[in-house]
Amino acid sequence: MTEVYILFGASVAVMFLAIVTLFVVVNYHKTLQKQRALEEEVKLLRSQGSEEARKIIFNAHTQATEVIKGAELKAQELLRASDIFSKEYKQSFQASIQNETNKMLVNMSQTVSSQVDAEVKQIHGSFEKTMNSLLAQAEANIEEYKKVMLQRVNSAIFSIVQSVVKKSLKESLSREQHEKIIIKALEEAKKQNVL
Amino acid sequence: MYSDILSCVKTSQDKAILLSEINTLLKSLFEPKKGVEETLKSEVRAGIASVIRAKLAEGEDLEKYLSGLAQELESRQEVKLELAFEPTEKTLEHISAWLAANVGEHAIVSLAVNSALLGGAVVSFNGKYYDGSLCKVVEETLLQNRDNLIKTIFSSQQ
Repeated sequence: MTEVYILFGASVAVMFLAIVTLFVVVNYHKTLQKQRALEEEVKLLRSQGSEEARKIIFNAHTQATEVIKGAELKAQELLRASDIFSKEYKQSFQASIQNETNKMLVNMSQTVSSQVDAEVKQIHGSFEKTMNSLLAQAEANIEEYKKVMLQRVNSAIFSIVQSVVKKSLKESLSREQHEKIIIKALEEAKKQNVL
Repeated sequence: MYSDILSCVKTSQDKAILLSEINTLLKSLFEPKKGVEETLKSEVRAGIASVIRAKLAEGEDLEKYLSGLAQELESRQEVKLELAFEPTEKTLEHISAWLAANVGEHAIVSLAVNSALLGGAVVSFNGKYYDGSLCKVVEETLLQNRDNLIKTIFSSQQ
């Protein structure tokens, strides 16, 4: 019985393989046909495209030639016109330029001078103010300095006078006079309840 | 009892010298080698020594006498006087006489010299103080008249 099953299974497998092989072969053949058709189409398109490109290039060439010719003609005309133009217009152009330049210079100098005047006036005014305030400050400082120096001088004079008086007193008093002053000091101390 | 010796004590210096002599004599009472007489001859002033000898001759107990004298001396009150110069004996006598008459016999002078005072005296006694120096008088007078003084000087310059 098992041999039968094995035989059956093998025949089924073989048949399956044959079907698959057939399928593959058919598909391959179809694919080949398609490829050939596509190749022919490509050839046809290439031939058509190159023809188009040639046409475009030719057209562009002709147009460019026409444009260049036109430009040359125009340039020649301009050159002819500029020769005539420069002789006649140069003079008046130069004259008008000079006029305009002179006008501008005059205007500019007037504007500048009026601006400068205004600036100078302003500076002068502020300078005067500053000078006045500095002067007043300097005067006040001088007065203060004078006061201080006077005070110092007065103090110096006072101390000199003091030392001179003391020295002369010390030297001028006799022993008796000193004794009298001592007794007077003792009496004054008693009056003030020190003794 | 002690007036004859104490009349010689006018200043705190005199007091200190006399106290030192008294202490020396008191010590000599207990020194058998030297004795009182030897101490009187060699370590005590002649005036004081003669007064003490006279007391001994009268029969005074020397120890009691000297102790009493020392106590009297200690009780003397010192009037501190600062002067501008060292006083002469005459000046000192006048000052002591004034103190004896106005403060009491117990007052003696404690002297100090300060030439900056110029004259007069600075007196201090029992914690009280009075500046009667010439220096102070001069300074006060000049300060009171400072402005006038300076005006006078400047006007005299012109």
